[in-house]
Amino acid sequence: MLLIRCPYCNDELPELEYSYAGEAHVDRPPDPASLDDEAWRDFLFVRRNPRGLHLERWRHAFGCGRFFNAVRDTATDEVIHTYHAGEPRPDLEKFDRGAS
Amino acid sequence: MTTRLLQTHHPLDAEDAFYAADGSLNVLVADDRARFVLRVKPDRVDVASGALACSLPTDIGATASAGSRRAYCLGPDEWYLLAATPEAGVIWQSFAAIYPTCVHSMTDVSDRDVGIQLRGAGARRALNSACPRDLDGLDTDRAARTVFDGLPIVVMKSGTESYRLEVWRSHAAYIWQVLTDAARQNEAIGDSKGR
Amino acid sequence: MKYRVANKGRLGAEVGFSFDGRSLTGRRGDTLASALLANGVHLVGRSFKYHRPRGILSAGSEEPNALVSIKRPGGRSDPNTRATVQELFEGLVADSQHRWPSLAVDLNALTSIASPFVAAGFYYKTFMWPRSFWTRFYEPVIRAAAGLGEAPTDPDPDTYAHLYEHCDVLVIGGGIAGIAAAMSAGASGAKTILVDEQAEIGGTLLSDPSVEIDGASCWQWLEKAHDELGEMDNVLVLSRTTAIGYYHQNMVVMAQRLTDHRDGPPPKALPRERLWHVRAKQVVLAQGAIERPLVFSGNDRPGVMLADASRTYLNRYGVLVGARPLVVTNNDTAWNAAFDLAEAGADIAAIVDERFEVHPDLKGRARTLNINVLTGHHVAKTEGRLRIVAAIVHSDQGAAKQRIVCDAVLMSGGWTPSVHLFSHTRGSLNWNPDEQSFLPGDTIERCRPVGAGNGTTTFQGAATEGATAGAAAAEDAGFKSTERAIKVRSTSELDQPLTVLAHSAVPEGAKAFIDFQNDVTTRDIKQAVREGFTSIEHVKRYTTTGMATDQGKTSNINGLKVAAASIGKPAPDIGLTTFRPPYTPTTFGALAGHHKGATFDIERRTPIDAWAEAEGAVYEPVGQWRRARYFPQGQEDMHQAVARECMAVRNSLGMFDASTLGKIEIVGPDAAEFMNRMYTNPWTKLTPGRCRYGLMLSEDGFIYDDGVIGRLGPDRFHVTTTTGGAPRVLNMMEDYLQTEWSDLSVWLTSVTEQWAVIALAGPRSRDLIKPMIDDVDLSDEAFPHMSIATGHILSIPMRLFRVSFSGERGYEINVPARYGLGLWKHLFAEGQRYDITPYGTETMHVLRAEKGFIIVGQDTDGTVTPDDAGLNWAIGKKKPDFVGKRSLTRPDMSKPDRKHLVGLLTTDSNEVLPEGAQIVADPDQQIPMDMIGHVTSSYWSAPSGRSIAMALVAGGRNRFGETVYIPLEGKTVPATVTATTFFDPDNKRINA
Repeated sequence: MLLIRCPYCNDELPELEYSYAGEAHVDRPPDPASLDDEAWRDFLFVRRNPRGLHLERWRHAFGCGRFFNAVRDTATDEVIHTYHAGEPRPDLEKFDRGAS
Repeated sequence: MTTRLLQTHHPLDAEDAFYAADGSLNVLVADDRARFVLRVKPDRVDVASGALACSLPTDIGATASAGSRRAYCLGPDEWYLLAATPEAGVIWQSFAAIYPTCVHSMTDVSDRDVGIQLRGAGARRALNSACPRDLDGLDTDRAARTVFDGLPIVVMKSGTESYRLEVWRSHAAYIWQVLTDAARQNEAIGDSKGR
Repeated sequence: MKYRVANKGRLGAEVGFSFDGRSLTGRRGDTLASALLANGVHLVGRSFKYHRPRGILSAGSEEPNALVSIKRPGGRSDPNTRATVQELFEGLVADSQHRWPSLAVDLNALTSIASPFVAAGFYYKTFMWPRSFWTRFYEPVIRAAAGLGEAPTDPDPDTYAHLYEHCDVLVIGGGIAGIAAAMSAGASGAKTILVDEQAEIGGTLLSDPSVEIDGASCWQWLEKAHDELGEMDNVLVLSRTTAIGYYHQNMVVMAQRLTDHRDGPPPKALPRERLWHVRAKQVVLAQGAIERPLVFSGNDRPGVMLADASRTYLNRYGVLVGARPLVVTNNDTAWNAAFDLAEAGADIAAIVDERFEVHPDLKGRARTLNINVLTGHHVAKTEGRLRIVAAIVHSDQGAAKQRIVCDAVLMSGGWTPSVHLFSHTRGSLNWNPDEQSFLPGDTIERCRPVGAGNGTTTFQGAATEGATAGAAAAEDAGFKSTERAIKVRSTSELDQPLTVLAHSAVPEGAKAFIDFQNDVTTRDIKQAVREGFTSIEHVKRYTTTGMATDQGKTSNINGLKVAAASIGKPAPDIGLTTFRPPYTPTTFGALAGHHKGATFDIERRTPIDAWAEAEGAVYEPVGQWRRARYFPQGQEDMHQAVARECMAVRNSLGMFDASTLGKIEIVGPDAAEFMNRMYTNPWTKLTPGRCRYGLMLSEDGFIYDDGVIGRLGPDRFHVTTTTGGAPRVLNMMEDYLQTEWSDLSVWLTSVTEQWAVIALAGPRSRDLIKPMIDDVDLSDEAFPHMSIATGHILSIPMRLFRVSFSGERGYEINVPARYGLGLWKHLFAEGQRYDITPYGTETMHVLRAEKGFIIVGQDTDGTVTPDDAGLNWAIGKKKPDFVGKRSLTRPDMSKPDRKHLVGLLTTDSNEVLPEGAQIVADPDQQIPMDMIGHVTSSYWSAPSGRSIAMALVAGGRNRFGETVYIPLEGKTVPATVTATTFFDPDNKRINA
């Protein structure tokens, strides 16, 4: 069971309090009508699936209820960093631990 | 016709209070309360706090009290309020009055939730039978919304041996059963007080 | 018990037990294995594939052979229990497994004749022809022959507990290293847990009383250690507790056994096991090492066992495993077994050491004890059927081979550090060529391996390493600490490290076992490699080595060495397969905890449920809720009850518990704007006091949820959702609100359980409630269909909806939940004059189907668009955007052959179609037929006097009047495609 730091509660809490919410920084286009079918398809369905650092969302569903973002290493399951919703995409270089 | 014609019912009406034979734990139905969920923007908290006549702490998990009124901060803009039942109408009116200048979503949940009281050295272990949080690490006079066997609960800790839970009405009987079964098991094992 | 040695062992009073019906005596403190050996019993089972006679190999939880069935008091039984782990209790009943008619005469052993045909991977190559023989013959025979032990048939009477715990330092393993770590950590004040799988802590010290610690015999020191740990309030010692898995961020799961060792049935409240989930800031792994067998032909006969196990049986249990044992080894430790057994009176047949050079101290001691020593020799094969009688020993230096008579062979192929839990952390393993084993390398978890499990093979080394690690762990957890110094003196250890020589010459075609439990031999592994399986993961799965309940504890390294030699690469290049939890077999009960019986899962009930139960309602599960499905009267079946309930609603008045409906209070200045974005409908102009049916799509354009929504004020909406949909609708709303539209000033609160909801439906519905409500004008002008008002009913606060899911005049009365039952009873009593009829979910389904109203999740399945369902009218045409809008113009969403929701009227009006039935256009088409849709809802409609159904049919709206066909078992049912409304198509009854 992972221990995840909720950036709002500022506490490390058990994974059972959270629900997973997919890739982060997939912003809903402000004007969907202006997108062609391929672009809209990409927004709906196309997601990254990296081996290594992944930017994703979690919700502290059984807690403060907030959605927030996380940097997780998909190979080791380490949640390396969490940050508030709305904050910009962090520079992943600073989390690089070398070959994983 | 008056309200007295209609009997009220509580989901734990069928349960007797639980008393562990070794004295390590009592599980009781908590006294009824008026309950509200208050959502208001953090920069308008002072106005809301005035309406409640009780401070509204902005640190998630912090609690405040004034008279019979209790305020528990459960989220960046969310408070769970408890008060003596007769005060419900007055509180509601106060919040209705501030709405034009301080919007909020005060919602009555007095019947949505019910309270369960745990007292004794065995309380922490009984809760930890199905709640994964470090409850020893939760400070006294703090609250946490967390999970108990997949069900949402709000835990209010008033002492190392004193917890109040607020749970959903239809979850209460099941949570009561799991808690008291765990208490009985801990007592039979002989380490209900932990260590 | 002629094999019991006086003045040895840690045992108590006599205890009676039975094995295969034979009454025997043991002692308190025995395991079943030691008690059997004390009675001279070595034959305890038959092997999995070949039914070879098997004895006890080890003295610990790594045992692969001695699997027996145990009967515990109170009708409890457990198959496949390791006799080396089962503690003896008064009246224990044990039986061997997997043999017929008896252990000594097992006719299944005749399959050994077929052994060339059942080698590795045989099931991929055999039993293929003729195909029809598989279900008729092969499968039943294989099923009967396969498996070990018999599953119990009675329900498990035991209960099980769970506990989440947190600590500063968790020490796994209670040998000398673990005890030292716990003492150091505990002395610092850190909250420390020490856990050991055995009945008492001490580990290898329990098998070697000659070791001196801090000037006393180690057994005396163990008592003091026990007291010292017991006096610290911050230290918890858990015995009979196995750490079964090591998970992310120092979460360790442990199974604590509470009753399996007790005489008599346990007290009712005492659970059989408790499963701990411990989150530790720091972990010390002190799990020790497991001895390896040697590989030679016939190394599986009863009487062949691990050398150090014989020492354990002698010193800890006071049992001589044989009168004339032969010791075979490739390292030093087995010599101690020879010495101890010789001093206890055994006649050591010889010490056969594969090495050419052996330490002179060992040879000297052997000489003193008159033990014959054969260095540079190895065992080629053994003789004996139900018990070993002799070993054939070959020389590697040209000397003659010898036949040595013996009644036990004590073998040691070296020691394998137990790296299972370390490996769960996905830590790296480093190959140690001297020890021919893997040692823990690096891990991202905060843990420290110590002792034999870390390759530290001396008692002093282990004690020092443990103390250092315990102190360091406490420091890292934030406690100032000092190492607990422990001085060890051991005469059975040498200053030199062990040197292990791998012996490679194993005759082909011989029964040289690698994995004892799954009957895997060296020949199987070599064959797998020959057939092209050169990855260790493939070798494992093709041969099944390491896949038995012992998880390869005594076979992994031996298997690896044979595979490596066959492949022609060094062992570390081949590697080991993944270690997975649980470390040892764990009961389902322990994992399930309280999830059995009454608390298997939550069953949510409404405030009105108790009345329904008293009235004999028949229930159905809807999500986590139980809902009354129908209320049979007298001897009614469901068909009759539902017909009666439907007619009662349409003719006069019905009452229905709608409390489970999801409810969300949406409040704030931007409430209407938020609603506009979440639902297809327009909300801005909905007047407070009015309701609207809301349709919600997911972003891909498919129907996600629906419900009636009432506007209580400019800034307040009372939103309803489907019963099962409330949590996911609220979650989706919060997602958009928090992460896409955080500028909106609106909040969402779940109020599903705040309100009990009683639905009244039928022409007399208003008549019933009018006298009870003073502050709401119920006239059709003031309160038309689709209205909402706040007020009071019998002085209780109420939200009143005028809505209808039945098509009749209808009201839904929402009252605070505590009044729900009282109000229901009052309405039922007052409603008698109108023949009020309680109805359940089945009638509710029929009535709405008669009107063509959809149920999301029944008539939709996540692939149905508003247009498919005929709900385009619910889309606000002028809205610039809402969730799912853009997807509605995806090319696929308007294809003409999309499945449309339509009605079906069967040609035979009495025929009720099964829901889910497939629909075809041409009933005579050859199989496979083109399926053009399926039946989503289907009922007998009493008000219509015939069956009705709804279905999704390709191009359905273009097929009105056409006949389609529903193929069922034994018949094909024709039906006509119609519109979805079967009753009162002009909606006149709503104001009746």
